[in-house]
Amino acid sequence: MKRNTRILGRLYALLLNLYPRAYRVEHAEELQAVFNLTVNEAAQRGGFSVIWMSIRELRDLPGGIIFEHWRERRKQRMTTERGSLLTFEPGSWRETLAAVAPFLLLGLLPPLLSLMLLRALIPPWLGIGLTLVLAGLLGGLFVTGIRKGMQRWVLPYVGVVLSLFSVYVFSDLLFGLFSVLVDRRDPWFLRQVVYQGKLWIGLFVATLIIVLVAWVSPRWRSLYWRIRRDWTLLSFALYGASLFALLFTFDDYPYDEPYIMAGMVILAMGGWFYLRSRWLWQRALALFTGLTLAMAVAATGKAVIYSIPGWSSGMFTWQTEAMGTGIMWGWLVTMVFSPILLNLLPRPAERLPTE
Amino acid sequence: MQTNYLSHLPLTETTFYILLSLAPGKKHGYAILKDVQALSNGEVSLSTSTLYSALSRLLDQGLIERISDDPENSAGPGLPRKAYVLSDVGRRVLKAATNRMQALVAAARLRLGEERT
Repeated sequence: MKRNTRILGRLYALLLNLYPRAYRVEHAEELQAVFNLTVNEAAQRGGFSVIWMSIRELRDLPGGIIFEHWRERRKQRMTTERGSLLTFEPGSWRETLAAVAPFLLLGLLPPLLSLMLLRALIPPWLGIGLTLVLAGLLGGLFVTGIRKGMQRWVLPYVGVVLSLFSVYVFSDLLFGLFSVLVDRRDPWFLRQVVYQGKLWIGLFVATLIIVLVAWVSPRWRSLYWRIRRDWTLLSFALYGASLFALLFTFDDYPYDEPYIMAGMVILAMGGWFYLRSRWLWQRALALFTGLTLAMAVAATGKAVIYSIPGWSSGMFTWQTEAMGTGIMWGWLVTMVFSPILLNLLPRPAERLPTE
Repeated sequence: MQTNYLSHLPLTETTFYILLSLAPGKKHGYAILKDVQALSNGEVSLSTSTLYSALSRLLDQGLIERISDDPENSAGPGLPRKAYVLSDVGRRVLKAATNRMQALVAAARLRLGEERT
């Protein structure tokens, strides 16, 4: 009898393979264990009980298998409908606030601090202390976000770091490119396009490196799959670079505080609407509007500041200064929007945790 | 919220017995199988596949929860290490189903009593 029960157990194990994979992962072990116990119990009552039990199991098994396949397909269809090509899960208020914090904190606090220091409303040591607190807070948020598996809200922070890499590391590697591609005889506009490209192309390279690392590293593999399902995450990371771009475009400019503050608030609003939106077109519009309006404010600000008598060197005009920011906007928009187009590719199927 | 519970009603006989079996506390699949048989006086004898199809559906509906069980706590060797418990929603659905059946039985008794007189 024991031999027979073992054979029945093996036969049942074979039949379990007919269930959908997800169901097998979840329940096969338990099904097998309960079946073995049921067979053993029936065996104690006699051969007839085993036959009766086997008939009952064999009678119900095909229906159960068909039902589970149908349910699995239904689940997959519902998941596809919920996470269709052009819709995304909106972020919570907390997540959104954490994501736009660098825009608001860096946009509003430093100009206020410098104003208070200028008017001697606070002592210099307090100004330094508050600046360190601000840097510590943002750095802490960045490290927390990375340690938690690079969640969506930390992506703009990553963009800021990438922009630093692009401008101060990668553009130096391309030092010779500027002189090879253009020289003084070329039109100013073309030279600006190449110069700005040299500054910002590193953003794209760094982003590709992140995707590659996430692909090959088991630790970051979940990030890779999140990106594959939602390429706008890369756009959101690149959008973070606009924070640094806004500060960078006002390099050496005086009286730039109101424009930086306005630009940062606009960028924060763009990020806010990105995370709170469900549809792809809403997300794309949020990033485009944020980036465009912020850079428009910056270009206007530069034109206004440049026209202040006695400040500018006179080498350029307010038009060329504003145009430089416009070209920078062109590069940033191109980079932010390239990943969005990848969302038109089919999304990968959901991966089971065991794979 | 009551509408949500009512959307699960009426329960099938199998579902009702499984939820009822879990009402006192957590149970393994095999224990549920035996308990359902006992509760129904042997009238409902579930096969393994029917039981787990029902459990899987109830898990998806949130009426029951699956918990890992300490192997030393297990009722015997060979028993699966997962146990099932009734969720709060499941308990409310079970109560709602019981109330519904009570009302049905009361109505049926009243009408049958009237017919007799």
